[in-house]
Amino acid sequence: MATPRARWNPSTGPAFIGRVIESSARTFRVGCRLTAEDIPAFGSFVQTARGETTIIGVIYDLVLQGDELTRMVALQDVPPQEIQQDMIENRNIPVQIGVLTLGYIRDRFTYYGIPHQPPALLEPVYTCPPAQIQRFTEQPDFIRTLVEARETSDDVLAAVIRTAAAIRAGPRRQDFLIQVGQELVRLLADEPTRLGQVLRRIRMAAEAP
Amino acid sequence: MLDWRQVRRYVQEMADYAGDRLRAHPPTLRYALSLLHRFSEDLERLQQMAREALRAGWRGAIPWGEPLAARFPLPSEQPQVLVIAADGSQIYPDRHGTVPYFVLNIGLIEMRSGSGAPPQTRHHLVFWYREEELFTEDGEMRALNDLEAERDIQELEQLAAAMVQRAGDPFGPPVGLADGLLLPWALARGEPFAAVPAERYRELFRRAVEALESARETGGAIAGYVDRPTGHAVLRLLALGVLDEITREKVADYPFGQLRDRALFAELLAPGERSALFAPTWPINDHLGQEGHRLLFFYLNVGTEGRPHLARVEIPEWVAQDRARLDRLHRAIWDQCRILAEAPYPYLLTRAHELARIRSEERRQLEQMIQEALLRRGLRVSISAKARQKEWLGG
Repeated sequence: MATPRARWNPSTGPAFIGRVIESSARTFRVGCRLTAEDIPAFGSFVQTARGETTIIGVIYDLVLQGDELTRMVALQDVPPQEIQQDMIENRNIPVQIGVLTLGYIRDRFTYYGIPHQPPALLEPVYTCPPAQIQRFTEQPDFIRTLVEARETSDDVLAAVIRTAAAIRAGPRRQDFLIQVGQELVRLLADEPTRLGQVLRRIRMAAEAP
Repeated sequence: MLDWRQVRRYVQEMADYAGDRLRAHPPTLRYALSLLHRFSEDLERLQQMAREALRAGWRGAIPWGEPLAARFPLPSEQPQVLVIAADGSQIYPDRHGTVPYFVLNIGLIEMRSGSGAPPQTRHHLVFWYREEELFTEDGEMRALNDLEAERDIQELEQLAAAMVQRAGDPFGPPVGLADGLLLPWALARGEPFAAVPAERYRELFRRAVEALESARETGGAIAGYVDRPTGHAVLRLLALGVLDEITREKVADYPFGQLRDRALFAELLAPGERSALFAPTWPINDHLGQEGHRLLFFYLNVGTEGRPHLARVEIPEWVAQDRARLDRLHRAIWDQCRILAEAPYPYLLTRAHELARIRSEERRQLEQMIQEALLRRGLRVSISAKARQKEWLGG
């Protein structure tokens, strides 16, 4: 079986997630084997590379692929609790992660939008540490891609904003959310119903301690 | 690559042959089943005949004391039981590789049924690279069957050690399951056929006895689980029963064609039932008996109504002598097999195998790691021309 990977701790550096198995200009997919506990959440920031370019994206899709053993256990009316826990906590199950590219970093400059080339196949993908997320989300320009993306839903948009808000504390979080709210008002001026829904979904981030 | 025109012809012939064999079974099976019932209580006569036949080169199964056609029902449900399983896999030394090494990866998993808690898993890794580990005294690389024996004995040792760690567990004495034979195949074959030096054979025997001894002291039960067994030891015993005299020629005759024990017991046993106990006539078994660990086996139907699935379960005699241990084992195996009811096989053995398995990508990663470590020390590494060609052709 695979070497147990370091469990992601947001306060530490980037953790390896998996490798790119499919890649296009706007999105890429990551293949890996993870225990359920290690699967990153929707809206998490991840990074990969293409040459000297660091590509930044967010997780918008997660597919847990049951294998033959999972299917056989599932045939039981009520699988024993120990077995269900074994499947969740111990087994490295195949997981495919869909990532939406939001921007890239080259020569220490941050650019929003799609990079010149998509990530190469089999390129390793890592989580983004908080400092990197903070730098990348300093400007609200990252939101446009999320608002316009066909692949994602507003749930992912709200999750990304909550992730970026969560790494900021106190007044800085409030400032960030106000800035993001203003950007959303500008981008969704023609869609007031959608704007209202998105704002309701991210409100809990503002109310969190 | 295969020449598919030739292959197709052979596959058709093979399918015809298999169909013929299958059609030939029923009368033979009915005959064998009638003998099983006829001789069911003839234990003393059969034991006497078996002892005599052994001297004439006969090999088979000796009844342990239970009627041959006995059927032991599934013991009652156990609210709590601790089951431990072990399996191993290996990377053999490759004389075409960069440097020779042997990796043995043993996966261990233990589950407390009824606890609701996830099973606990761990690995035991053996990594041999020194000359004295990989080569014999005359400079030859250790033979594959010697390394296989090492894998088997370490599986047994690790399983017994895990049972010792859990002796006195609140979930009761542990049930330990090994995949396949309980003893290394080299030991079961007997010294002349083990293809390992006599000293090595004695070492394996000593280690096996020590492992079984420590398993016994836990108060638990240890067993080897053989799925889809191909043996015909019980049928050979039935063949013996009809002989009017024991001669070398007569005991060599086997009247049941391709019939195997599992087909016989699939007819006899209902789902959950186990057969009577038998002792295989392996040469090693007498020595094991002297140490208090004679091996026995029984058949167990882990299938469902109309879809029998037979396993052979090997146990040391001390498990059989304690009905509570034997019943605990019998029930635990059944419960494990129910988890994967579509393909009945103990769940924990499947998981132990999964933990032990070394994937091809992991093999490549390890090889790369070794090459990098050698290069960092300024050691030039190369693989053989044959290995390089295989790499180019994709294995």
